[in-house]
Amino acid sequence: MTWELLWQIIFIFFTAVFAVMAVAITFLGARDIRRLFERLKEPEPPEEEA
Amino acid sequence: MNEAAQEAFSKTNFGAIDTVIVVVYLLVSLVIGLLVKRYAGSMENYIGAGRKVGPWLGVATMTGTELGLVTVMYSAQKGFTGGFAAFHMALIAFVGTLFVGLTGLIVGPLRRMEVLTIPEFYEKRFSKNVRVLGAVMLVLAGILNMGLFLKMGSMFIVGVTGLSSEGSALMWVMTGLLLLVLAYTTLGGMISVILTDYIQFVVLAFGLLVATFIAISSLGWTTIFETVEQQLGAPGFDPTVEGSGFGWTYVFWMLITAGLVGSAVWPTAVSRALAMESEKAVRTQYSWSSVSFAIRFLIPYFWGICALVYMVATPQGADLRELFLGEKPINNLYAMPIFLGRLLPVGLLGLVTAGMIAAFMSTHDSYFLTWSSVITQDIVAPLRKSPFPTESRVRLTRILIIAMGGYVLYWSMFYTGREDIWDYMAVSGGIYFTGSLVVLLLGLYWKKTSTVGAWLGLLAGLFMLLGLQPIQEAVGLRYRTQEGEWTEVLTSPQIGLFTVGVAIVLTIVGSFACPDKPQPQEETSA
Repeated sequence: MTWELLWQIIFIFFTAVFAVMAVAITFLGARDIRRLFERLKEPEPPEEEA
Repeated sequence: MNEAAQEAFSKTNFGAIDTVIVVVYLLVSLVIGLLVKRYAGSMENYIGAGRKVGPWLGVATMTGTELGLVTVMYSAQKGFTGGFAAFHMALIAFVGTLFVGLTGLIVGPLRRMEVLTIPEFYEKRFSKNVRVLGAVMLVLAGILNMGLFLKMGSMFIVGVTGLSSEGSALMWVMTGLLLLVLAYTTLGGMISVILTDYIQFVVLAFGLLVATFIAISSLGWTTIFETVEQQLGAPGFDPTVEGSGFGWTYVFWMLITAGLVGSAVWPTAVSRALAMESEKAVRTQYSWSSVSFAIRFLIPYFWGICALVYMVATPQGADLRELFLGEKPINNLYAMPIFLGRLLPVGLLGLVTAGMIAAFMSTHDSYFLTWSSVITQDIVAPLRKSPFPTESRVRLTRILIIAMGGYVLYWSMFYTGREDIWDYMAVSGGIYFTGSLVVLLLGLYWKKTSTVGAWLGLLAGLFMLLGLQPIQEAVGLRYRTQEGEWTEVLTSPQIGLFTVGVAIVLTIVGSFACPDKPQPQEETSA
């Protein structure tokens, strides 16, 4: 395998995976944001001071 | 900047619609900071989002932070000068981050220990003094490291928008951006940083992909590779060839920096791991982020390569040929933004610019928050003898963020040093991470690592100062030959590898020579 072919494969592979990932994270990340705020609204246990 | 350069810069597609897109985007960021302020009451929420971040949001925020505009600019420059050979760094970043994700190396135990910062680990594992020393070195290196970020941001904006680099408009734009970052970071802390990172991820991910697709369609897949072959030859593809500007030493140095440090030691990345809801979430975050860590290098390299091809192989880019590849070339950091400014259509250019400005802001907000919280938590708090309540900590952190903003603005506007900034950044970052990498690894995985060993290991990072040009010249590591050319006895990667080696030796020798006495459980001031 030549360097040129290796970089072509790597570029296409990562770009394709990133494209799928970007779509997935857009939706799943939005779900995590909703959960984050639900959990931040929960009362906190008292903090320890130094 | 000369007239020909100004003329070339003005041929951008950036228009009024693009300006509107950018402004709306920036306003949304500010509103988010205002809206989440009420959640940022406790120190844990302020600097760690309450450790309640889910894995997918974690991947988005990790990508948002690490895909900074500075990275994009320098990576594009690497692609422009080194061609496809630069791709090896993306591959190394992917493998390194995936390895950390699969094994939990460094970040897993840190999250398990529930520390908020790396120096806090030093105290839990060694002593309060090691914590303060680690924090001082980290902050010094980190703040020096970010000193030129604003300048890089302004170069991108000049290149894409055609805004004059010499008028006052640019100064006001950069000041405005900085104030915006300061506003939402001081108000909302990590929560607003994470939310803006998420929006940035969405905008930038699609912007990167669409812009790349347009670049390939416009230049032609085969033409891109053929042009690199003609211009750079074999070194344009093979990173092990010394003439490629890389070589084996560079590749080994990248294994440490891009492979391990970038994901598992650099505090802005680690702070994301420590904000996650569980160790399992950290591993998921890292495993998936490995793709982003590769992409954050890969696509900018590709854009840099495309900028070169645009100049060499298309008639539209002919006016840039003399400017960038002639006898007196201008700074090639401008190559990628000018190329994007001419390639992308109105609207999409605004979106990509907004994403890039978001990348610029997200790096700043993370750095501001990380360094200021390290000063508060790891230098001021441990050294104080009186109680340090949460409110005071958050207030001090906010004041420090504003002070750092002032420093960055001052540095970027008044610093008139040489343009060869990459070495400066690598060296300044290395002061911290060379020693820290060793102390973290040995401290976590070798029980005999002692406090003295940790001290010596951290201090070993100072050897990286030998990578700075003025110091190299002073000690004779860099000198001018009889022909008038500068020669380096040791390159920055060689000094980096040497420093890591010294840190390993000193930590081990110090640990054997002065082992810690067995002690009952220590108290921490975290």
